[in-house]
Amino acid sequence: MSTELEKDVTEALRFRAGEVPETPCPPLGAATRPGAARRGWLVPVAAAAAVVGLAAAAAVTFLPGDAGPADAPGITAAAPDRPAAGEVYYSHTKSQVEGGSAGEQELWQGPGRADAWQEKLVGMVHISVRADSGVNGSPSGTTEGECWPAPSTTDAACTAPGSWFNPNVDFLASAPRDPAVITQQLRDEATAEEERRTAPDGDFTATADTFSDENLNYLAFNYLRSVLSANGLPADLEQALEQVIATTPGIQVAENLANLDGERGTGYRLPDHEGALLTVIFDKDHHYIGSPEESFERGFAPGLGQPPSRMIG
Amino acid sequence: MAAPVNLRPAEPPLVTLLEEQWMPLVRLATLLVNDADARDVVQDCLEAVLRLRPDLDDRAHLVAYLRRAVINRSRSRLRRQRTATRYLASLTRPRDVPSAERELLAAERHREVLRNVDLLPTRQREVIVLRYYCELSEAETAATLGVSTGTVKAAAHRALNTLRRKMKDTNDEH
Repeated sequence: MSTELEKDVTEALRFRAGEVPETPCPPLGAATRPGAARRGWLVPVAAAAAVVGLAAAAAVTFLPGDAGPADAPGITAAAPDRPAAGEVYYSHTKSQVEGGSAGEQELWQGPGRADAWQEKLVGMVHISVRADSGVNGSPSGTTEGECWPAPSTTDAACTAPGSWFNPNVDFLASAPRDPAVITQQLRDEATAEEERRTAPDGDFTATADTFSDENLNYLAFNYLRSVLSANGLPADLEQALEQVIATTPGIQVAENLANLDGERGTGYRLPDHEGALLTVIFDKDHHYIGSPEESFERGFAPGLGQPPSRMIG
Repeated sequence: MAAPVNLRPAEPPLVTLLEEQWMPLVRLATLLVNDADARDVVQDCLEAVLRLRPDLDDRAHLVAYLRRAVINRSRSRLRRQRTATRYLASLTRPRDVPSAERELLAAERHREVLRNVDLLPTRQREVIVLRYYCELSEAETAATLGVSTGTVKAAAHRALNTLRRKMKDTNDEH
């Protein structure tokens, strides 16, 4: 038997539904409504930019009085791009945010896939998308977990297989180095991503642009920014990724382009359909250093939350 | 003797079936996202179904499939607007209501219920809409949402408790 409240709820919902004005069903299958024609382009890229750009950012901030790698004791035997015993990955991103101020992310991550991590954010939020809770922004501060970016090893973000769109340390260690193979895999993942997102339970409806070469290239390029700032990216793979980017159709090369901190290198820019440029910059040693709105550097620290003991590049 | 012939009515084209569901789905989406986005949500779903042509063997399954698609897309839409919606809802104050006008009182009661339904967590709101607007059983609601019947029961219980408490609080204030 229904309670009074249940009756109220039923009547209220019918009341609201009854207020919805009758409108004819728009033509289906032929044309999309005005203004929606490019959504297949806009939505995935915008969403990915928000998620990847903030979640995987990382850049510079040196320790006070940092004198560089030569001053770090006891690390000379380590491979330059691999952690020595006891070391953890460290990355630091500085991003320009609206209003001109800068936000910073420092990330410490153990060398193993499921190891503990610590993230420190200053002046920015970490945007994450979770299956049930939607898009969340964490305020500035320090958070910890296991199996970055998951809170724990049982979280789906940890158990999901690694890929170019979900780069974890295990995937990066075993990923192919052949630029042609990488390019094909990126294309396959971009296509699968768009198919997933344009399914009935996805975010948007496919248009003529959704599966175009331009859109898929742009989507892949956007996700590559996440790969480039991922901890555990081996130097030889980083170089291969630069080759992939350099040969992306439509890529614009800008020599002597400065990142947010003024460090200069070769910039690769890919315009979206409105001409806005997505940019990545590599230094002369082929290390990713960010973009004009961001600076990035990676290295190693003696422990979670500790100042880095050496930096790469 | 002529062989018996099985005559079956021709299936209406898929696009016709989809067009028939336009307004019912728009109303459903309005209850879930409660804004002009409802039409976009439904059109996206119908376009996707027309394009992908899922293997659905009858109209009932098509309707259930569409309903699930609308809920999923509404949920995606809601994620993006939830913070703003809650903030705006928190600023909305109950109106003064002429006590003698029963119709207006009922309308105000509806608005109050709806304001509180809008503030429910997404899953609870979906359960409430499916159970009390679509009049689905607990099992049908569970199938539509892809969860267990127990989850539906628990969500409905929590939602009604929340609504009851908030309605009581509001009444106590007046």
